[in-house]
Amino acid sequence: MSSTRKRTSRSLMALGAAVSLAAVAACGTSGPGGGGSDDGDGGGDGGGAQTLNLWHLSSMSTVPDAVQRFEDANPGWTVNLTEAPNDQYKTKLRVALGTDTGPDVFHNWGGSDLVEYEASGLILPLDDLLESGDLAGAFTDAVLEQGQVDGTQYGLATAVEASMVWYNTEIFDELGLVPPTTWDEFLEVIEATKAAGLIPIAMANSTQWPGSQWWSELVALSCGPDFWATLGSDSPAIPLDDPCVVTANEKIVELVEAGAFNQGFNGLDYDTGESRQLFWSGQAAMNHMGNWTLPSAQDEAPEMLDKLDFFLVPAWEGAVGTGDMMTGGLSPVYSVAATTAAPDMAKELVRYLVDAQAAADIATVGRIPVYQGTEISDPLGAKVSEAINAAPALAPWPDHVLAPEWTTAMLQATQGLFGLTLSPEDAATQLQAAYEQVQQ
Amino acid sequence: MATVRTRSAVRPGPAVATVRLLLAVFAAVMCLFPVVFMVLGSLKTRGGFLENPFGLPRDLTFENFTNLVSTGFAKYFGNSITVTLVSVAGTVALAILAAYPLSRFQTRLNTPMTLVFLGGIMIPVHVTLIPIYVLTQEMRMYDSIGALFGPYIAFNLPVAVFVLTSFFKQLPESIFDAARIDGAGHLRILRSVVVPMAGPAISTVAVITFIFVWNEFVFGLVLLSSDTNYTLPLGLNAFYGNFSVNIPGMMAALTVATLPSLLFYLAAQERVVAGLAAGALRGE
Amino acid sequence: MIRTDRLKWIAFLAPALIVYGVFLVYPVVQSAMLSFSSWAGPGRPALPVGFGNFAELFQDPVFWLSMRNTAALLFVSVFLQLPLGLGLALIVTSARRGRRIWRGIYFLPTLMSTVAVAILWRFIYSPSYGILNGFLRAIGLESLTQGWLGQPSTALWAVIGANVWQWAPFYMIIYIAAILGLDQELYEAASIDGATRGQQFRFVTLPLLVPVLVTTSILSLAGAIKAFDLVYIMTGGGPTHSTELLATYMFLQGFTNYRLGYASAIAMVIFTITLVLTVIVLLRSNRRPRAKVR
Repeated sequence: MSSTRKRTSRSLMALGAAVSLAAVAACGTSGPGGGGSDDGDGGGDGGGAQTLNLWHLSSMSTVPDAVQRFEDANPGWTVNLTEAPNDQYKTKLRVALGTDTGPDVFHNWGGSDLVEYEASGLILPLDDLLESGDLAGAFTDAVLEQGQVDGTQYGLATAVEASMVWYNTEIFDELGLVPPTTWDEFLEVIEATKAAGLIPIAMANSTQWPGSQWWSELVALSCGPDFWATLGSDSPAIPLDDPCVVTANEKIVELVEAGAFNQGFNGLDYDTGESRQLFWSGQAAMNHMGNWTLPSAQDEAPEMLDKLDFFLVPAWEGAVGTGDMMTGGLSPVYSVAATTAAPDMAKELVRYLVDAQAAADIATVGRIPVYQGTEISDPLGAKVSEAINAAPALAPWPDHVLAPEWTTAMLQATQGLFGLTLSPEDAATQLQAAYEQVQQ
Repeated sequence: MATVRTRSAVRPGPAVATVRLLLAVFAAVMCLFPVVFMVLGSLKTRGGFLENPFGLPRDLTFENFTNLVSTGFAKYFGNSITVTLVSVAGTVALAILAAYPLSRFQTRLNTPMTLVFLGGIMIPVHVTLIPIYVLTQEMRMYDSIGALFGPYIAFNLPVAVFVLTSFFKQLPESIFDAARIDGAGHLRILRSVVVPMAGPAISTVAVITFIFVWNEFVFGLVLLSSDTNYTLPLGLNAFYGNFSVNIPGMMAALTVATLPSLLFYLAAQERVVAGLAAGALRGE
Repeated sequence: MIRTDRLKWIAFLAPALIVYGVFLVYPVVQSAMLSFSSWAGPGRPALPVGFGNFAELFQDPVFWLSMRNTAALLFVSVFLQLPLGLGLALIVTSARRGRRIWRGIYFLPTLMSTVAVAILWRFIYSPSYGILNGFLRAIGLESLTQGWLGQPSTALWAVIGANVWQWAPFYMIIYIAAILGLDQELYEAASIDGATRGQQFRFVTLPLLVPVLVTTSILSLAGAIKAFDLVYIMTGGGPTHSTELLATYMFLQGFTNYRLGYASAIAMVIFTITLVLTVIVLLRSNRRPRAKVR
């Protein structure tokens, strides 16, 4: 990273631009020049240096509130919000980050993305922000570490998310079922709901990440926490074609063959609600999904909140991991783009996105804040928070661990497993081959 | 149309006529059922749709349409209209300027130059996608609808130049001589002689360009990133990704998005048909 | 004709040539150059790799799968879509009344934007509330209901079906124009000779339509090679690449995996195939009678 000198000169330039271009600032949009990256020696183009561009996921409903507080506290500054759904967001960010059409502050993920952005000099360190004001000491080390590259802070999170098996308590009560604690019990629950004419578990996997989350969780159970902890490092403890990975793959096949999922799930789209609809309407008894199922229910099917509960995917005999392990990660994580014309204000914006108030806001929509001491009034939200705090390990979402090329291969392989078109052994071989190719 | 007497010589019997009508109706059902599903769906409530996806709406509602107003839909429309107007105008203007020398100047260079333009007809959009995406960033046009003008005009120029060149060639030499005797320069000849006479060819070019630009998706997907800059096809796609479980709302959006093309067709159907045929049969 | 005045000649052509050169010719050349490099996007170094991308491509099973799928789409486009378009055209032209109405009804699918068609057909194929499964249930064929887009065995055909639905009417329009442009005296002569309507079609219409059939075949081949929007929105090329086409695979490698060099190599394959088709068109058009277009 090239140093404070560059940053200082940028701030000065931004200041100059702010004074001279205040009149034009109002017209700044996210169009060319709106983001106002510096033109190098252009003498401070500014193009609206009083404006910050913030990119976030459309599912993060409390972002506008945080932005409002920032704008109120910093008169003269406006924040342009650009939002996109999950899948489009990733492509969009990759395209624009590092160019002057990109964001100043953006929703980011930990893992491979953070490492790559750091290596390419696309993001700014946030250590100074952490040491100032109310953010000092607000986060646990475990949370902070996920936003670090080599000990430097590049991302700060508002919340943590994890996946679990959500179930319809009404259906479970009617059928006399209780949340399973072993794999065999899990299969029995699937069997019983199926026998009752229901879809056991709702699934929509055309975008492939829902299946990959199953896979990540099953691999973590099968191989233990070391698997994800060391994958991507120079010496992974467990290769991707290890027998324990094959076992995890076999568990997927076992679920599919047991008829655990709805017809045609590999062609349904989670983002458009095709699996949630099955779960909300009571056609499906369970839904394996992240804790954002809570805000989704508030939004789309409030009546569902009274009959919603969850359990964790149970482990089986011989699994290295334990049933209280979870899969998940920090989200949203916010980073500041190196191209920003006003790094100090951009960092200030990050403060508003992750501070105590942002944490309190995000808790009210059913998410799990990482700002310590935030009160979670919703009982289910509190239960999720407890489960995450109690989990001995949090396996990462697998689509942000390694380079995009491996991710594509992994997504395809898991979809093939779910579609029964790829054998557990072949899937493991393909994943390892893709891994080796990427590492080259 | 009225002059065509294709089948008057042989009068089919009633059995043949019935079979033909049945076939025609069957084909109409096949073409229309998705559209009917779409329109009916747009008039249902969310609950009503899930209970009864296929039948007539039981509790008719127009709320899905009024709800569209509060989304970015009007914005997508506006962007599409801007992009289409500029691209059509640009294509027509550049093509007229280019077709004039290609058809009315005497030089050996005309044939190779015509071939250069003709070659572009077969170039797939995807071959140029990555370089144009990079170029757009270098030109600082990325994520603005202005980024679409260049590629849209460039991809429509070959057909446009071709159609107009053929048309200009057919104009009688005498009118040009007359204009020249009056002392008119090239630009004036173009403006006051060629363009007024080339109405049909120009509208053909405009129609082909309109249809391409109005529905274009890939360039938009690669060159735009902000919702505020989306054209209608991209807006629809984003809307679909966001719409959650509101199927009737989506159907209303699809219906509204289809209306302009339908109205355009109804207003200028002979032009559309001729334009498509000319665009398609351009090898002739 | 105006005598050569090179300066004015080039002045008139210049605006078109500049736009055409910058946004069409230059990108094609640039694409060709990129296909010999490894590049992860602006701001990152482009490394020359010679024929490395192509060597990898020809060993890439997904590439061959997308070739196969593209070929299937080509085949259906020519042998199903065109005959359907011709059938529709015959229905319209043989109607004595309301030709414009029939034509308008049949033409509706082509009028819709591909994005709208793709979204609509996702609903039609939806396993739970889709029309297709609903129809099968209604006629007692519950056992045939499928998750049409969710399994490799049906996904490709489901997508191709939507493609045929959308584009057959486009060819109808061309055929209508061609049929109505045929010389009517031939029909009168044929009917005086006592030819039945079937014979008229077989011996008069069809032979005269050959040039148009050739053109439309080439067009639908080129259309199939470029096909992208429908698949991108309906399946994204999945499940597990089973609907991957050359164009969607290029997009995946370029804009998801960020292998712009590799993606350019796929683009060059698309270009080469199209080039071969162009040569065929040019050779064909040399020995083809001119068809009138109204």
